[in-house]
Amino acid sequence: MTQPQRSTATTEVDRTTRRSFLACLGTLGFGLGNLGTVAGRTSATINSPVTEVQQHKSPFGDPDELEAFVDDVIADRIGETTPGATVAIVSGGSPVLTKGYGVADTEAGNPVRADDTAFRVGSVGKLVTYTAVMQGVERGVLDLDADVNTYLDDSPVTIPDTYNEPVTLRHLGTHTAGFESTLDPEIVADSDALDSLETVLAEQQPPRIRRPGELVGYSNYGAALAGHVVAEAHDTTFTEYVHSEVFEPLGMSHSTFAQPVPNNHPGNLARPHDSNNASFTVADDVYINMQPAGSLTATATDMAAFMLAHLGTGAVSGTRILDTKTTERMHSRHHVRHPTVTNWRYGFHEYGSPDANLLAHSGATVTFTSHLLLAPDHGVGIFVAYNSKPSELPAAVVDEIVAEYGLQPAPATPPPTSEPGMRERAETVAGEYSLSSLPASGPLQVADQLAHLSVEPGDGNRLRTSTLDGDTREWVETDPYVYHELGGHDVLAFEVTDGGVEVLNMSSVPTGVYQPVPLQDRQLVTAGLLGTAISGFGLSLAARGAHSALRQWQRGRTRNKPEEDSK
Amino acid sequence: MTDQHVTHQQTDQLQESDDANRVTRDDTGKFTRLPWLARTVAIGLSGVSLGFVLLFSFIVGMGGNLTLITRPLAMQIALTLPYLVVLFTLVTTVGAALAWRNGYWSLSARAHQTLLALLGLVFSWLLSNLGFLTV
Repeated sequence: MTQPQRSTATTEVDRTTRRSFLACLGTLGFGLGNLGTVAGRTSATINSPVTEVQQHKSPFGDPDELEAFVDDVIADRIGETTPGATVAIVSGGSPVLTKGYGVADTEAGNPVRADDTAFRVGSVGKLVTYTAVMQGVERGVLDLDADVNTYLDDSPVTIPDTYNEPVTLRHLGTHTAGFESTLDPEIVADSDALDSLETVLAEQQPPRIRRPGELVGYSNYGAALAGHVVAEAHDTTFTEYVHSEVFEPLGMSHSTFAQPVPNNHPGNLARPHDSNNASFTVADDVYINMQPAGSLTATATDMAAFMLAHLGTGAVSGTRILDTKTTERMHSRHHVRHPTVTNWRYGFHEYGSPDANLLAHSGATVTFTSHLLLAPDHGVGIFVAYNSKPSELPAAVVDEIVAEYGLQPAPATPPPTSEPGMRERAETVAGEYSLSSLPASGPLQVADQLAHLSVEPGDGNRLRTSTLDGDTREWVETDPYVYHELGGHDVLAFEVTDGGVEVLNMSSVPTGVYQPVPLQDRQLVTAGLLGTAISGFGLSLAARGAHSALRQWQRGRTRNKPEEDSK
Repeated sequence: MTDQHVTHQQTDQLQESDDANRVTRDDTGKFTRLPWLARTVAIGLSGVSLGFVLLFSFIVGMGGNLTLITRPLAMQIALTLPYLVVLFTLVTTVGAALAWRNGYWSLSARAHQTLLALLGLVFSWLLSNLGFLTV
């Protein structure tokens, strides 16, 4: 495999932050069950042969040039960022590049092959789960606005009536059900510790802490529940359903939610890797109990088929998994955080510039990362996966391809608002904010503390944001309480009521919204109290130690003195 | 020097001399075990608190926030320490109250014990606020 050196590549600044990393953690899950056929499925509207394919002018031109560009982009990362990667790019109704890079296993040294080496794709698998939900909607078996409890009569899972408003599949597909986020999709290190999906959902149910539909708060539990509803509505298991209704029709023969992946499953598995200063070692794999939330294993070739189905209005290779209207419905907005930022389609979130009509989802397990992007206006889909968990995620590769081929407009200098009072508004929104998609209980609250966003008035009429991990950015107010990033696509939109901020929406963080942090939870208060307590304890121990040493020395002198006197 | 002061000093010296063998030797045998316990637990509170912060920081520093999800054995051990901190804080606080009531030790030793109790209460609140007491 040739890996040409990366030459020139004007790239967007990689905005990989602790927040985005944690958000993409919301991916892991697990699946048991045998592959088989769905019982009781009768609809003829799905999986029917089709011939029409949406036509778009490919932005890539010569496929060889595209391959050379992607080779360049990946080359710098292989061996530095990840030991292996797999890439799929589709355009104009067919794959234009499916290629593996680096090695699937650093011990064996076997290369990654796009059509044979399966990667764990984490939360990108949620897109399969939500596609399955839309199939149920199309058949009339499921309703996006019905109480999910209506589908759980035969299940041990019940959603409590904490609020008057019920949780619906629309809430689950937009992460607005209001479940407390836990980040952890019930990861276990031993496959013997895996439970059935209904057991996990019944026993590990997080509390409902917000009214449904109110705010986005990324939820692995919600995605897993959506998969369970699909299974219950079709009287089968989740893994059986997606195998017969998504993977088989699309020819995704190397894809499965099953864990561990059965030995007789086609293809080879990329092994997970830990990294230490660009040195990679094979790691133990982990298993995800909330399987519809993140246990998918797939090749790049399979993911190309999945992207083509979505870009082809639900059909690929003569087979339809969704009809055109249902696909369009899935790709339409289902939850609007704020009109000026990225919002939620069904299962997908908008990505990059809010005006670019890019749909995406990232994914990660403990030792794999991935990113899938659709540009429906260009008929383009891009999928990139790593068999490692670097700080720079596969989204950075996708961003370079998007920028190179103009899939979204280049960042422009934002024009400042003509509304007077910019300084006052900047002072109104100044403060510390925490993300709704991070845990509000348990030790993982530390992750929330570390990810707080500080907002303060900047030079002139600008706004400045910063985080503990050094992500400092400047923003220009383009409309009252709406700020555009200098040199980037990001947008901040504050919702202010009675002179106080209720919610801060950040375009690059669609997985949640920021809310003001109460005084006792602010980083300065926490650091101050922690520093005081630890300093006090340390000084106390030091003083006791010194006192004890002094006493020992004095005792020694007292003991020795009579001996000296007797001489 | 007042009688009271003499009493405290004597008790303090007696207690300090007992630190090595942990044997009570006062005339009545009434209070010496409690002062020793209060002081020992206060030392334990300092040690466990520092140990928790160091161990937790080391684990997260080496393995990242994911160690809070995957919970290796070292993290499991670290996450039990906050409960020990709370237990030691309660005992230290009771010890400080008894020290003032029963006149254990010197004034500075009682102030030291009280300060440790206050630090323990602050640290316990912090641990609770950060979710370490909800595992």
